[in-house]
Amino acid sequence: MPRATTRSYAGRQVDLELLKHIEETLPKQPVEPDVVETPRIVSGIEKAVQRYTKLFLTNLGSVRLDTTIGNDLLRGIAEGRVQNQAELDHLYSEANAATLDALSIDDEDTDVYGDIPDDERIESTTLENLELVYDSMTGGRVKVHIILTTAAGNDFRFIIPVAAGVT
Amino acid sequence: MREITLDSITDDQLQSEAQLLVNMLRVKYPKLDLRRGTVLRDLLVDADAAVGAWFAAQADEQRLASSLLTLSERAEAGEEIDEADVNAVLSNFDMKSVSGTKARGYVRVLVSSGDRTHTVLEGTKFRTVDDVFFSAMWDVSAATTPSGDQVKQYATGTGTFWYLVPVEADEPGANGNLEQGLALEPATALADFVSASSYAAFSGGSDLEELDKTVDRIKSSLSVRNLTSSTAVEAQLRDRYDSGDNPIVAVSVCGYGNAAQRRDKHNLFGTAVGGRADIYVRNFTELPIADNQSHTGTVVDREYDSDETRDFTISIPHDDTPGGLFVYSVSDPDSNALASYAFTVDYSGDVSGVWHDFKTDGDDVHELANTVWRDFTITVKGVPVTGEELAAGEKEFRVVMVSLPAAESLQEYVDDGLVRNVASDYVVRGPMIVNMSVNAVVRYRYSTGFDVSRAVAEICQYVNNTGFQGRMTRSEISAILMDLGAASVDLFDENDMLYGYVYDAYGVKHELTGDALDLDLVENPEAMLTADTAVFVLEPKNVHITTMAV
Repeated sequence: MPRATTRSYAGRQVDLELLKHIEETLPKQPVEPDVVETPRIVSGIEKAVQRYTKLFLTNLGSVRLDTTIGNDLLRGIAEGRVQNQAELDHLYSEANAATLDALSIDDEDTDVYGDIPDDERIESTTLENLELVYDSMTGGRVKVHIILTTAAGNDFRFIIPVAAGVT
Repeated sequence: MREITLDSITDDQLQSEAQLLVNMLRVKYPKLDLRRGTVLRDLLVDADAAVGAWFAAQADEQRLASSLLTLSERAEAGEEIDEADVNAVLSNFDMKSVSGTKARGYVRVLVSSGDRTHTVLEGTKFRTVDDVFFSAMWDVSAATTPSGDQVKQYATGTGTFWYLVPVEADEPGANGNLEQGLALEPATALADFVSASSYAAFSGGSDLEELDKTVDRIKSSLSVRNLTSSTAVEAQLRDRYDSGDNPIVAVSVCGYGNAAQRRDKHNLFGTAVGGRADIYVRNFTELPIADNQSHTGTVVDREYDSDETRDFTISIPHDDTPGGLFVYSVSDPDSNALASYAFTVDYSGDVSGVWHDFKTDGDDVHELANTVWRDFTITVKGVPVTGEELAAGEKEFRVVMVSLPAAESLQEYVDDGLVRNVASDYVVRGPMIVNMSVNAVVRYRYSTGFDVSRAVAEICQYVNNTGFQGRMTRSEISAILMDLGAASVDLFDENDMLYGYVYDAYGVKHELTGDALDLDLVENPEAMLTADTAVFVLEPKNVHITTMAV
């Protein structure tokens, strides 16, 4: 898949950076929230990944103002519903579908939010791997390996680490 | 007013407010991405949208709470309405809703011993099986031979003794109007306690006025405040009495041109000349029983065949029971029976010191009917007597009188020099009371059931809140039963669903029966018995409903 080469985001809508700076040149990288002294803005693929990740990790019903946003992935893992890979795959599929639906509500409302460039519009996502990492000290993690494909044809691989309490 | 919190706000309200903010922000800052999932959405839109939605909901609630129409609709939908909201709107008309009142009565406490003094402290609670609570209104100390402030402890003749405790309901409401003889239980242990019951029917309890009745009253409240028209008279009385213990239910003014007005015809030709008005007041929602029921009868001086019985006369002057309407029953003071001795009543009255225009002629004092000036003399014949009573020539009786509550206060108010119309002579009368009974057969579906107690309560509530309407029909009662789930309402016996009796100004008893109780059939303007002077009253014990599951 050809990568996007432009880095000029002039005229783009921007958001505040929430996750660690996402380097396109690295083949795959984990994205995690971080606090820095100098706040940054994001646009383009960074914003797309950030939006996806933020909604992907939102528990259904936890947003008071919009109780339809979110999914049961984190809650399912925390409640111990994940007994095997198949169940984890199933939870992921549901969470992914819910996230893409939530993104599309506003993406398609161009009258209000304006047109968005193809490299910010998420066409599809693919689950590359779901990794259960056991750690008796920290309780372990679930690492969700995702390939995000934009409408511009870019692929972006990233890992969402989710604290799972798995021991 | 309902308290509005974030939990009261729906997702749609929040999203609507959020969309408004997004549109406003994008006009000013088109470069900010405010779509779902962005950090800027969380920071700039969501929190403010919640606050905005809360304010909008609060404003909406204030708007709805400021309309009597919407409050009434909410009440009909089963929602609890804040009385303060209603009174806030009514204050614009210089009025307020009629608060419920607390029932009062006497509890008859039966104890196993008369050897000592029994004390019930103020505030001692009694409860019914339905958890209606009453509290003793003051300290009561009862002794067989009372002294000072003590009350008498009566012997039943079977080794037990009883005394009376005045009580008031803890909460306002018509459910406090207990029937006579209803069992009560003290909340704390009482010495030598055997049992407790309501000595006579409790009265004075009323529910908070229904909102639609409050709305109906607005027109009288908007009228001028003086005794010049029916509406104004009602407004004047409501101003004074609606916030008290006896709020006004209905008022009927019989003035010039009304057939029941007799006092403006004191001329040679018997024609109406005006200047007189009789104000009939209904300020009760059940049969208004007078508090003072203990009276002494004097033996009628005549020849008797034996010493086992005597005839007695019982005088009840107007000072004792002002506003007396009729005598309900005469019985022994230690009897809890619902029966009464047979009795006759004669009326009298001395109006020599009264400035109102009354025409009395010897025994004919019908123009004093139901006023604060009429005296009663009751004659009871063939009453069994004890040796003591024979020797004393006297006997104690319990006389249950029906009388207009606050009659003296009402008359004094319309006589007040600052209130009365200087061109007219106003007299306050209690209404002629049609004491009703209802008999019905209710068929109901077995799957849904039928609550007889609720039916009795709602029928009584309906009848006891009517005004001077002149007619009570079977249809009105049937409608209530059908609303409560009756499949059909049949006559208990052919043409016998409703029954009622009423005394006119001469004390003559008139009976009504049938599908409708129509005062036109017994109307007698000379006896001041017309649709304008009479109201209907229904006691729960007089509602007989037979149910059949179908």
